[in-house]
Amino acid sequence: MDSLIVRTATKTILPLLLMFAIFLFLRGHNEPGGGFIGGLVAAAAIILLAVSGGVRHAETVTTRQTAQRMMAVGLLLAWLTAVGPILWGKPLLYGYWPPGWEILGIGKLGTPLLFDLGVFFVVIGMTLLVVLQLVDRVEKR
Amino acid sequence: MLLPFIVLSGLIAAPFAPLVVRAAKTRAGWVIALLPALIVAYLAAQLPLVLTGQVIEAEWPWVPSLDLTLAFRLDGLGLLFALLISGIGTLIAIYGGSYLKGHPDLGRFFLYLLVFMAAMLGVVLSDNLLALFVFWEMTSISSYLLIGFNHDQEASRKGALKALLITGLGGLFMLAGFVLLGEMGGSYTISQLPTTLSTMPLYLPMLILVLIGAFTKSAQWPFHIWLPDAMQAPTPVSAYLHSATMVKAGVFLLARLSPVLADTPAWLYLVSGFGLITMVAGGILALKQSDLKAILAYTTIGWLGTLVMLLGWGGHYAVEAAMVGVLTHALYKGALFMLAGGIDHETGTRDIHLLGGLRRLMPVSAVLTAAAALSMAGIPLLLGFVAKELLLEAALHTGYPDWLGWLAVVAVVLASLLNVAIALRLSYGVFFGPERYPKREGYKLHDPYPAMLLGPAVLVVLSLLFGVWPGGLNGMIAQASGAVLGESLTVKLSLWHGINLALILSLTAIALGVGVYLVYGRVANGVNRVLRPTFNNAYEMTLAGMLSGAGRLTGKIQHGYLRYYLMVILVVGAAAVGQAMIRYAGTLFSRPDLGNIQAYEIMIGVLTITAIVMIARTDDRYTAIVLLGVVGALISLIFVLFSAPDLALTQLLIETLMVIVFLLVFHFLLRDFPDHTSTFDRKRDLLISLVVGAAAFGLVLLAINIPGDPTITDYFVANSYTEANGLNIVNVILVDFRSLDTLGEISVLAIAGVGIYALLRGK
Repeated sequence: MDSLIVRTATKTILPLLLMFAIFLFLRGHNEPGGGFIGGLVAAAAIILLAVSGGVRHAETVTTRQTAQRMMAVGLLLAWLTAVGPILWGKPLLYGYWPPGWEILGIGKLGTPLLFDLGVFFVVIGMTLLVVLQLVDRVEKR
Repeated sequence: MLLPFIVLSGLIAAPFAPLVVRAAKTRAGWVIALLPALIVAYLAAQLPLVLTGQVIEAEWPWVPSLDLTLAFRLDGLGLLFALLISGIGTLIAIYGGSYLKGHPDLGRFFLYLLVFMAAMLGVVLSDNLLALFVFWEMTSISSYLLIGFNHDQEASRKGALKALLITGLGGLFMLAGFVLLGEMGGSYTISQLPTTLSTMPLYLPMLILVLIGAFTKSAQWPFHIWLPDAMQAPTPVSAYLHSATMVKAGVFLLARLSPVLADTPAWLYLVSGFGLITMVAGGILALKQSDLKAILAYTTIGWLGTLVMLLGWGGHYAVEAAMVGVLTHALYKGALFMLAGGIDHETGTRDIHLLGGLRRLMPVSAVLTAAAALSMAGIPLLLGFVAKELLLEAALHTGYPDWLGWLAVVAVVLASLLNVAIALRLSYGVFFGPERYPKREGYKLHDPYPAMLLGPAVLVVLSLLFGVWPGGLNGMIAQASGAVLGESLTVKLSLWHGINLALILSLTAIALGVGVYLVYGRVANGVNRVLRPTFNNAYEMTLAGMLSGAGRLTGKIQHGYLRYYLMVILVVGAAAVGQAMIRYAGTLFSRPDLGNIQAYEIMIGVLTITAIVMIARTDDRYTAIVLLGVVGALISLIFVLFSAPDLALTQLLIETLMVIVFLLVFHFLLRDFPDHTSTFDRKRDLLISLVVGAAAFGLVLLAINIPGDPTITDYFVANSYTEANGLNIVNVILVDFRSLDTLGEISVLAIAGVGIYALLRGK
């Protein structure tokens, strides 16, 4: 699909979509959203670039290599927040909420938010990696 | 309290072995040898304590809920074996460093070796049945890696696999036996097992299971077939594992459990019977071999049979003979293996037909081999003589009825004379007579390096020392035998017992052995003609059958047709729902309270059904995909209406991505659905669709009519904010209450992602 209108429009709304994804992720603990949904929105935004303008176009924002790294980093982050508490004698996946840490609009801050960030990255990375590669295969055909 | 560290030190040190090799280069063997040498020093320091009958114990909890503790216990029996393991381990590390000098994987070799040593120490010092099993399996795995060290050779890999399969399978039987033993005895601590086990109804099955473990590990007939193939291992490994340590683990286990399991007819006949057959079979099979290591392997099998037979007999003659026998065999067989490795290293062959008269070229090897062989043959002034005297004495004091007792004596004499003949062949045949060996251009044959002679020299000197002065072993053998018999006793070993029946039998065996050596060729041919590799063929056939069977089964189940996989999944799912529907048939159709149905809800329903009908009717794949997306969007609209915004968001996003992925994938397929599907296929697909649809409908009805457990929902509602500081229950469940599930899911997601990426990248 090669449409100038879509391509130009995507460029404009991409930052908005990405910001919306981060917004969804951050508010997740109290309002609809969260790492999984936020990750999907972010991935969908970049995939829109790929579908409208090709892999090259999308990879000006995120390359497949970056996607792969995001996935790895996300997984590592999630596992660290899961295993970390054991070092302090707490059970696996124990959630720690530093007293007094609170941000308006997000709510309290704690290790589950970091865990959710890991989910966020894994979802973006995995989705992008697979779909971009698929688009690439289609283009090379 | 140092004991657990001593046992586990090998495991701790193992990962550093490759670094040591990189740093110490050619001296790596000497550096690695420090660890077993330190263990020897520690054990030697405990010697005075243990010789006075004291026991050193230490315990670390591991999995208390399974009654699994790292309980270690150093008594006479454990000390004897631990000294052999660490002592010979020291010599092997030095020998191996020289034998494999410059090998690119030397670090890996030492890593495996240290793991193996730790596992072996764990086996002989554990006082907990389950921990003993864990260490036991660890020896199987590390020996698999060691036998297959030259993994680029098929024979190595096959030999390693054979050893692993046979000893590993035996280990599983043994585990079952251990569980029976622990449950019957009321404790998994070996030293606390009661002596009344033999009166319990499950005694015999338990005994058989444990014996299978011991017999497979100690290469008893008919499980002996793995040991000759394990000779594919580098010689240091054979010298360590297959002469002195691992194969003796089964013997050790029998000795360790003797106090609680022995003294029954079942034990007497089963253990001594298999031992006796193995003893004779090992000797006879050794005759027809021509490879130095194969000869040593079969004589090892024979001697392991002897030890098992002795422990089967029980009583203090036999047990003392077994303990001296363990020591004797480790000393001479370890030496012979290392010397054979030296000969192989120098001449490039182990075929005894190609070797002869090497005494002038390799004088030190010749002397050491001769001394070790004399011990093997049981000639006075070497420890082998003492061991054979005890063995014959024990054979004259079995618990057998008279006729069987005499048969046992004959068998022992037969095995002894075969040992004499083979010992002559190994020493006289290789080092005397006309000089012959495969010549290599510009290479002058010489003795191996000192590092490769040190090990055999130390072992031979010990053989000689205790051969001349057997009294020096009195205390050690008394404590070891005492632990086996479960009573304290005093032992008086001596070189000269006066002229008695045992001595006469011993001299007869030597004379007959020399006679057999003189007609060796004809005997070996005779054996060759009569014996066929029955059990090896059975093993090969079983293995091949299992592999091809597994292949056929996999081919049937994993056929690679996506549509059939889907059909199976859907139909099984529908069947599962179906049986639930039958169970709740009564409540299923009681009209549920659906509340007020709104007009727009009906509109969504009509739209959805229209889209579905269109999907079924269209011939164009792209239309079908887009319509599927429409269905998904409509469903997410339903979620919105029933106030499940998280669900709706997720559904909408997934639908969007799915349409994109489908479109991309279908790019590779024909745009139109193929219309060559037969009417049968169409009817079948329709039927499956109807069944699955009915099941899904039933599931919804069930969900409405059968209320779920409200406590779960209430719990999350009540605790979401107080416990997890979040108001969005769905997300709190995902990242906090049930975050373990999420962790698993994203891990699978990442693995799947990498997998798909790899598949797509391929051609």
